[in-house]
Amino acid sequence: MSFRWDVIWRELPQFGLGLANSAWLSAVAMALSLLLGPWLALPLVSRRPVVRRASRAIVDVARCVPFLLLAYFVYFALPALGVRLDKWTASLVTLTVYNTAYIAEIVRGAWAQLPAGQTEAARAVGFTGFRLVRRIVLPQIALAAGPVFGNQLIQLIKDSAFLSIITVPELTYAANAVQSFYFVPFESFTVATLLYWALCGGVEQVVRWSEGRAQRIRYGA
Amino acid sequence: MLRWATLLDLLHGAGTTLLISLLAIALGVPLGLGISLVRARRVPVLGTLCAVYSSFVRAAPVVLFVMLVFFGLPALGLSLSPYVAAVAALALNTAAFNAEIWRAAILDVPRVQLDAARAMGMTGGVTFRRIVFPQIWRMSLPALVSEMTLLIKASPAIAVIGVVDLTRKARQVAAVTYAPLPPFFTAMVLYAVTLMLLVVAARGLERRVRARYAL
Amino acid sequence: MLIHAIAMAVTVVVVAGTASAGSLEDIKKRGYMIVATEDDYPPFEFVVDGKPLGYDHALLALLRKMAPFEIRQEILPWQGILPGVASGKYDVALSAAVITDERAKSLDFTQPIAESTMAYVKRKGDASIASLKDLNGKTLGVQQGGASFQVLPELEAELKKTGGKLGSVMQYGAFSEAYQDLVNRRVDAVIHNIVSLSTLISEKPDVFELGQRVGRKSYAAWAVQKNSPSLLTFLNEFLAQQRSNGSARELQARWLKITFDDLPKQPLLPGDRPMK
Repeated sequence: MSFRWDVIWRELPQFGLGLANSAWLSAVAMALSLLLGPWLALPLVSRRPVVRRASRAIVDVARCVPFLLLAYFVYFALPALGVRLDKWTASLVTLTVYNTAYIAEIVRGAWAQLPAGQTEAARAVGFTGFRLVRRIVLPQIALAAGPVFGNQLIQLIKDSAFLSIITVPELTYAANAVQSFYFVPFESFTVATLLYWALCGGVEQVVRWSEGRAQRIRYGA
Repeated sequence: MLRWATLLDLLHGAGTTLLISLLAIALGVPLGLGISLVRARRVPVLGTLCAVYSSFVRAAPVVLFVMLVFFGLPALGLSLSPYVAAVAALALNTAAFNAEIWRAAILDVPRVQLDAARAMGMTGGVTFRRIVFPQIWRMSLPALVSEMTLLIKASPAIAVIGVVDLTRKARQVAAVTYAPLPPFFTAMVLYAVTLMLLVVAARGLERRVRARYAL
Repeated sequence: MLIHAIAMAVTVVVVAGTASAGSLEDIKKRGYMIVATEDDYPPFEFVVDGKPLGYDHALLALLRKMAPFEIRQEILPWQGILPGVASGKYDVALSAAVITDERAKSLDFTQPIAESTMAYVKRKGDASIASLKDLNGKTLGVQQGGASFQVLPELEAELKKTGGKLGSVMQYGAFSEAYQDLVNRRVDAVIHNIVSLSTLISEKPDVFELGQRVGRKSYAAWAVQKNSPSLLTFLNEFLAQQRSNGSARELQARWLKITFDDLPKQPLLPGDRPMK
């Protein structure tokens, strides 16, 4: 039972590049869906039942599509409809579309926790639609829902591993490339898992740090 | 769009997905409970191991974990067939998340009840069976069902080790026909419908549990 | 109590699930041999409606008849087969694995069962690629962990001779995805062994076109763990028998649509070099 860690050491640059790709893809997709998500949250809290129910159904269905299937669909099936994206664009599109539904739901959920009177008062004073979301709702939930967004980012990072199957050179792809060339599956996949662990741990640390700052902003140091 | 025979083929794959998912859930829920109990009772070495295992597995992407279990474990002497590895990997993965769910529920059981049980002379086993468990399974049910839907949603990962589930079937159809749109779209719909049914059932269950047990 | 139960269950699974390859004696004692085949490698191994078919599968059927033990077959993706044999999880990669220098470091091979020189396939009518030197800068599709990936350094050397260079390379898990991307114009050429490519083109002659050979002449054979001389002898005896009684030729004609009458009796590295 001899292990060849030397091979992993030699191929560390490939792992590093894969980790970097996993990280930036997730980060960019998260940023984009943070921009789009609140827009989708609006119809979810609309006072018109039809709008509310329709958007609820859309978000619910969107959160029931497995990420790998969505990636396959965007990458392999869309060309049949004339939309041929390269693997990086396809990745960002898939990650963003997938994540936006979750962000919308998180925003809606956090918004529901805010005192109802506040939203009514804001509306009475004239804040409606996106201004309401941007100026009143978001600043408050951003502080409160930090951990939830952090969790969602961790979910996104893990889901991004599926992109290895559409040949995106992220971390899981790198691990598979190394193991299938050198025949070192245990070493390769263990190291990749440790790197994901470190990345997710890093995200959790940032969340905890920002939570501390949020407390200080809210209640004074 | 899709021939009947092909649709039946895909449904066959869906059946495999459901079978493997159900087996993984059946193993993962009790295993999660076991892990949470080990941690709650603060068993010396095993408790720390469980905590590390839980944190490690929860940070691993499911597809990577499945590959680690199937391709990597033989190096440690544990060699499983694709289907067994799929069930094992999904079960081990969900157990880690379930352990956190059970742990939260266990912590919510009022200490007072445990002290009273001990004062009355109940052993640990009896206390668990008659006092703790009836409460924690009701408290945990919504989160556990939510985790079950997440497991099915992550199950396409098993396609990469050769298990012929719905995802791999869709791939095979696309490879033969060079028309990927029908099979991938159909597969997406089949997954979404199954998961939606589960989500609706979970919401109904949550409402009933809350109503009946005033949690 | 629960913890005891779990510990026991884990032990049972570990003991029951543990399989380790070994020599022929081990296999005979165990009573069965475990072979691994791929599910997407036409015409050597492929699966249709749940049934494994192909040249390797036909040979496996013959092997089952003459083996004094049971043979269990595992069908899995390519990336798991050779590492599985190297680690002892499987006894034989009963798959037309191309003999390469890199693989020879960790595995031993039987006598060749086919020639499997690499070539490339392009879109039919793609006039921008007329010969090997036109692959200069083109995007190529290969298989992750495949011989197609391992032949790239030779291709790069060839391109350098005509002042060109290797373009970007996409590594796919399965060739069917590489072919789809070829159709979708994400890659300009896919590299695979010439037998598999010929099968592809015979199935879709209006979509694909065969290009030139890439790299040196190479052979495909079955692979076993290093230092298993008795197992290797057993397999070689079987293969030699199929050659002499004409079965090999018949199966080649039926599945590969080409017969190899002059295969070497020993495994050879690319370029007809002897194994080290």
